[in-house]
Amino acid sequence: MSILGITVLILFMQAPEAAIEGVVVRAGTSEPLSKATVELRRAEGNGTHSYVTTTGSDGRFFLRNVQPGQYRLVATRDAYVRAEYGQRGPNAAGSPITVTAGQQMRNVQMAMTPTGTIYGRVYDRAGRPAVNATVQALRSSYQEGRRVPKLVQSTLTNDLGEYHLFWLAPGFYYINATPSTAGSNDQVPQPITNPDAPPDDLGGFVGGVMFGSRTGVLRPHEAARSPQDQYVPTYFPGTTDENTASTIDLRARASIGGIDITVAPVQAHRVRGVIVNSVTGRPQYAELMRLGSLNSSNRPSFEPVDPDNGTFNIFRIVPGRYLLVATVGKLTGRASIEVADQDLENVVIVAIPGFGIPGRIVIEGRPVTDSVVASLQVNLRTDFPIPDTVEPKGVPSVDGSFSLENVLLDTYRIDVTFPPTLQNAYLKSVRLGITEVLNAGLKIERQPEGQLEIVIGTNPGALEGKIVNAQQEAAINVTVTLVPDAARRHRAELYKTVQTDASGRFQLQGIPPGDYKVYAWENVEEGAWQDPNFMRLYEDRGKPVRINEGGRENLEATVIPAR
Amino acid sequence: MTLLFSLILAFVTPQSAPASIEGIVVRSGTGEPISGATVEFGPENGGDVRTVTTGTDGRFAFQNVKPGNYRLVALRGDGFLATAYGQRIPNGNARPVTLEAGQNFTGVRLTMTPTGSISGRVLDRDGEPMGRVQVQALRSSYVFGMQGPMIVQSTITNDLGEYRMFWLPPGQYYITAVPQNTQRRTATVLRTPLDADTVYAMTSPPVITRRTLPDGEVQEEVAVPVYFPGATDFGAASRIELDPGDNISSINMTVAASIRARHVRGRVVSGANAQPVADATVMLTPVRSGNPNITIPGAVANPDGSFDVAGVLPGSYDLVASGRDVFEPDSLMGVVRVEVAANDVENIAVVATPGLDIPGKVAIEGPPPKEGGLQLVLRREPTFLPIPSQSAGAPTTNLLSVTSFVLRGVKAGDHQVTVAGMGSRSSKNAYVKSIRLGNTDLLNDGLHVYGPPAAPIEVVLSTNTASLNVQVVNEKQESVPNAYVALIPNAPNRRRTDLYKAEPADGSGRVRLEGIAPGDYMLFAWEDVEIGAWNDPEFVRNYENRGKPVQLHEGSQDSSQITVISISR
Repeated sequence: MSILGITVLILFMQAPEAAIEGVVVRAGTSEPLSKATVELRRAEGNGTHSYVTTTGSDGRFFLRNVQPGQYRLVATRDAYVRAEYGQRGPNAAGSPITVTAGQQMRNVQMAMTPTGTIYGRVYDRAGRPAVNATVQALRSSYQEGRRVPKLVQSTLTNDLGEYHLFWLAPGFYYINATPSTAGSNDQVPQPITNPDAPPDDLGGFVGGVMFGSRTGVLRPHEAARSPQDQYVPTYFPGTTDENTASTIDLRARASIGGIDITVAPVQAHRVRGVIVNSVTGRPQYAELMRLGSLNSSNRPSFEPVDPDNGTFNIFRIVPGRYLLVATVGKLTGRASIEVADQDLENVVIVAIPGFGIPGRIVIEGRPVTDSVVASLQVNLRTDFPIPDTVEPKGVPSVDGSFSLENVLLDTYRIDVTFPPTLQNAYLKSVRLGITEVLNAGLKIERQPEGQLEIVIGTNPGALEGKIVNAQQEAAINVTVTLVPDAARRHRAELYKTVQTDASGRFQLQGIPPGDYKVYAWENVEEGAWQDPNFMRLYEDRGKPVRINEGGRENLEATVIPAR
Repeated sequence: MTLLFSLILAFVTPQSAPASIEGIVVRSGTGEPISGATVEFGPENGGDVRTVTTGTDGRFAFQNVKPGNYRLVALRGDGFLATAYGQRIPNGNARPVTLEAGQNFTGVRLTMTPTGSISGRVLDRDGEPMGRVQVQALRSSYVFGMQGPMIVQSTITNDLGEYRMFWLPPGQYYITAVPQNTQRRTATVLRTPLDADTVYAMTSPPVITRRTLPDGEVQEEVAVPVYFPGATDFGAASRIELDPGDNISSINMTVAASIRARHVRGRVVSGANAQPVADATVMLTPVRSGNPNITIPGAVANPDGSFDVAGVLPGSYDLVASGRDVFEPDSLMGVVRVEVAANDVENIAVVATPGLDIPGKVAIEGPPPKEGGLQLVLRREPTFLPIPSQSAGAPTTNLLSVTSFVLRGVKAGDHQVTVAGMGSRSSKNAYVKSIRLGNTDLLNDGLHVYGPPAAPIEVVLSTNTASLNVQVVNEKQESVPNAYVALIPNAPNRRRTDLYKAEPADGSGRVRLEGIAPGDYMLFAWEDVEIGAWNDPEFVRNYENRGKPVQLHEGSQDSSQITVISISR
């Protein structure tokens, strides 16, 4: 009797173990997926401890002896997009799982979206296979409304010029190819990036490569190569300008072939010129000189060049548009140049002092003199900021007057930073003299006349509504995006996004008045709505809405289903 | 005036009448001309190199050449091996082109050997294509003092399981498919350039598949590499003969085998203060590998020094535990031999100690050495460990110029002791007579470090070297020019690469070998041989009965005649 009693006591003292079991299927089907790795990972803390298992041929998985806590449940598998519990689609956010003591979660279904393949050949100018060329798959991502290309995967061509970029998540891709720069004897270990992978690695020893020379080698001399031949990436279907590259719409399970690219070395050129000090009218040594490319991404890469007592001589520039910036004390000179098929001579950069622009800022509904005005900050932002330089900014006095110093020749967007106390504030108008520059941008070509008049609106509109699917059922946890009309699409601050709640409803506040379209997506990549290529496909699917000052709109829209 | 003019001519012309050379680059076998080949022509002992690129007729020519000895090489990076004038086999010994004043050397043929390709598919045991598997071409090689298969090229399969390795020199290959962690962000591919004779070995962590069964039991398996056609053991692999220009396809493999993996658990303790070594790196390095893909299971120790290494297959391992940075001389390290069989191995205690400083003394017999340098190198056994080798004192310490040295931070374990020439300037007139520690012969038995040594290492060098004048002849006793002559030590010194001597004979078949350590040797001469092949004991064994035994004594000056071995005929 007493022995039995002890046994019972022990059973009760032990916390019942939690367990999770379920099945991994191909998205949109009930087809089970074998060989999928399912991992239950601590959501909080540095949680190194995780539970890992692999599905069998029936697609089922079992996780036992799980300690209580918050977790994320993730499935990975070759040829499928990483899937997370709670996702609406492969790009959507997952939701954490709370495991309580003794909880038994059964029939958890993880749906995995198949990947796709892009393949083709790379040729040289003579139509021969380009061997060991680097081929990259890129996607667009958006940061502060600027398009930033993101490398997804890279590979090398074989001796037939063939390449395969594979296990790519569905989406829009750009493909480029760069010939092997080290000649045909390229040997460097090449990375094949797999950005869908979680950061490397799970402890243990990470591998390396060791070399040994097998014999004494008869090493031939290095063949000389022309230093004027430069290699730049060529984008499908055949352009070195990323902005005119074709996007490839890759669907799940698709295999898109024939993405062939012809690459050629481009002839590099020289740019020579002089820097002139506008104050003295004489050539001037510039302590800092930079060359930025406007060719590929929207953000130029600046690299220092060597100025020599007022003259400069820059070698090996491949065709394209560039920005040259020279700094001489407090003077700055800029020149936009375009290198085509020959050397550029006699480029003159005039270094001038920056301009001062006076301004005044007014907050609607507030007295002309208000202490809150002094907590604002006016910033002039450029599309091509020069590294290590400060963009012009001004802090208003209590009477709303401010001044911007050292404004260089450029086109600026006006950005006002609001304090947290000033909710619902938005930029209503910005005028230079009598010209409205809020949407068009502030273009500085000479000392501007008049002052900058900024009006801050404080009476925004609001929007609420419901999203339904094609069957008129509430669409839950879908992404709702408010997109401004065509003239204002470049103003990143006007985009608003929110997820629908459990009844398919959403609310948006603080909307600057104007015309918008409302989109609802089951599955969309963050920021994709700022990509004109992406929006072209959906332009007609948005529901137009006009937001008036202080207005409250209500609408119902249909969700765009995942593809 | 006229007199002066002819006088100048008389002095100048005989020495500077320009020579010329012309010829054609052709493909071996077919003899068709090769276009786009770069032909390089330059003085044998360095200087300005002239290059031309062949057109569709494959022809090249160099005019206005000063008389002398030249090197002539043809290159085409895409699909042909480089060839040098005089080579009879790829990578064989080249011969100089000798041009006399005024000579028009025509009709030179440079024959280039085309490379080949090997392609195929890799499937898993369900017959599905396996993407991102590493496929490697292996060749039997002799490196790091070991004979075995080494990687000459590797690639990664695509989504269809397809792979293609190309620009492979003709020869014998083994093909292996090595499963990878496909979720890693990067993969390594090794595309060895033609003309560079580099081979690779790779280390990687095991790819562990964990599966929890419905009853809660956890199974762990490690996928093992497969050798074409389907062996998991290198001994059962099929050799693929790749002829010049061959494209061999359908070298398909199925990666079917997974082996249940074990765990090795234990604790790392510092030998200095008996405290646990937190964050120690623990690696299980296989004692015998015989495979250029070395799987190294590993783990990082917990704050209490405990570790749990997963994914270990049965076999013998050296468990190496080390502090954060093993490349630091002061870092802690401990080594324990672990045998893994049917079950998990528990309670392994590793004592990690700082490296030891081992002093040494150098004595030189005979007159002082003239030039050159000799270096003492410790190489950890097994040599594939990702742990650096060590040299005596600073890496630049020349044994010929010191009387004592200190080996700093020598880690516990077994080390091979070797002597190497410093840079390219090996000593022409000094050799290593002995390296001993007490009664142990370190050159042949190695250095076993388990605690501070009782005595310093004693290095004895000698400058009383022997020399040998060699004449190479054929069966008819006629002299043979430009053969490669090698003097190879007999057992037990075959492993001592510092005792090997090899030099090409000159145009009259003569060569003088200098700086030879006294002892018993075999003398060989090959008419056409891959340079360095004589370092491979397996290669030498094939010709053992064609060599000539030679015994050399301190300070002796001998002559010998050797009959050439011709391989290609």
